[in-house]
Amino acid sequence: MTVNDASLLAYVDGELPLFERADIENAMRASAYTAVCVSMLRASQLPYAEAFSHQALPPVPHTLTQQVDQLVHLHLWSGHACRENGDDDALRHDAEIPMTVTASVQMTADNIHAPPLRWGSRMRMPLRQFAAAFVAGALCLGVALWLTPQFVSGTLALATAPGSPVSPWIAAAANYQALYTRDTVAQVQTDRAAAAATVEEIRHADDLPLQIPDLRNVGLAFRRVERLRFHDKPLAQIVYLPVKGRPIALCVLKEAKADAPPASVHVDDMDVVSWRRGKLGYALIGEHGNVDLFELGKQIYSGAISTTIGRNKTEIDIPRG
Amino acid sequence: MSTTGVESLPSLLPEMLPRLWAFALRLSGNRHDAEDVVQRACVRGLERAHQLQPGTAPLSWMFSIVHSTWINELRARKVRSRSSMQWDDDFLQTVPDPGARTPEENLLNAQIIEAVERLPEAQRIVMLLVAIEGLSYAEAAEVLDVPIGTVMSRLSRARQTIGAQFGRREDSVASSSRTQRAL
Repeated sequence: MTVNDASLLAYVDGELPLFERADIENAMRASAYTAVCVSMLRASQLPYAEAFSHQALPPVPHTLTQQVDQLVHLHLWSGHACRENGDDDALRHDAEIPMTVTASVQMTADNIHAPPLRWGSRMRMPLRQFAAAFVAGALCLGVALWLTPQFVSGTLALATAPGSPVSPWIAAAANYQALYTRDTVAQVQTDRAAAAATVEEIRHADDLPLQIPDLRNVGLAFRRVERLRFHDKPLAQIVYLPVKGRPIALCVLKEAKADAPPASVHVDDMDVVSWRRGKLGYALIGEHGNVDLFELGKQIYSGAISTTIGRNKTEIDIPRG
Repeated sequence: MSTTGVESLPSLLPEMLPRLWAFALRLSGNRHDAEDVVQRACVRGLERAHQLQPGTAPLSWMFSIVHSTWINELRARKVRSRSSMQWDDDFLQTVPDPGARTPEENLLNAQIIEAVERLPEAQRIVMLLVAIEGLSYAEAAEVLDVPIGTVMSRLSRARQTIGAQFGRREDSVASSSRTQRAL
């Protein structure tokens, strides 16, 4: 048997068979160095697990617990929805979409500047990976809600206000938004040029005539705009940070239907005000209570709010938060 | 370590969270990084839940993802280890533990933790996995994606380093005791 660090450890911990123990003992007699190594290993037989079990560690952050619960919920939800519908196509897309999303989000992720020596991944992670998880779930979710409306009353259902049907894309967007904490967005340093470039991509590549409302008058600072997809349709997400509380998002998707005035619904603990105008569906999504989303939605719907990026091809005027 | 069906990972994840959190904290040395590591690892774990083989312990599989997530981040930052980074000493202080029975136990616990924390990074991580988290050599090898012999070798060197410290400590105690008796 070769006498080495591993075999000496096994010898000291009593994990060697008898005949191999003799080899080690011979080696110890022949080499003082080996004997010293064994002596040190014996001295290292300590109650490590016991000692570390008394180490004072901070508890699991509440935000982390919530986010993991949300992820698990979304994961179970998407799997349940796909199985409910026996939707092989949805499952196939489930495998493909994360790549698509990662690629599309990557374009904007590189323009986000995180503080040095911090992951900033409360920013980057939701962009790249929560987005993938979101869309993977959202695909199945959409299928489930369209084909099996009764799903909304199941154990994995969205908690929506009675009598207020929620479009699948709005439900998925609201669940995605619920994953964000204030810190997630507060760490983002708004990049004017990058945001303008993203809006240009949304307007031309995605064919969404997006404009970014200037909401400083109601205490909402623009932070970023993202390109996402839902059911292979472009979905733009504009994120604002209020003076206090969690971020607020304005999501936009093509909806070739008649204009509809703002209406309020609840998706879990998120307030949502949605409307349609000019073949675009809008969803203003935020935490309940901090901002009067319905009033704000009415103002945006009526055109009473000025816009910044998106007014024309060259104008760039992103307000500083 | 127990193994469970592949489909149970999502339901096990919330229950595993405290151990993933503790492992990530000890890996990274600060709570901000630990939170990010665990978040990312949970997303990856769920995305790849179908890749979890029957017979593989979900916890050691998640440890593996936490570890690789952290290593990738270190590479992205172009640093070789946590020693080059911000380190939050607050949570690593070993405070007197009311659960310990004697001051001597408190002291011993603190010395053990300090000895492990001072190890070279590769040895420290093996100690965390095997001696603290209770993984087998084979499970630790899977987590770290190295041969089992490498795990044992790192563990042996780590233990020799710690043993040298504690051997000196015992010699010192014995010497002090002899001196006192002579007086």
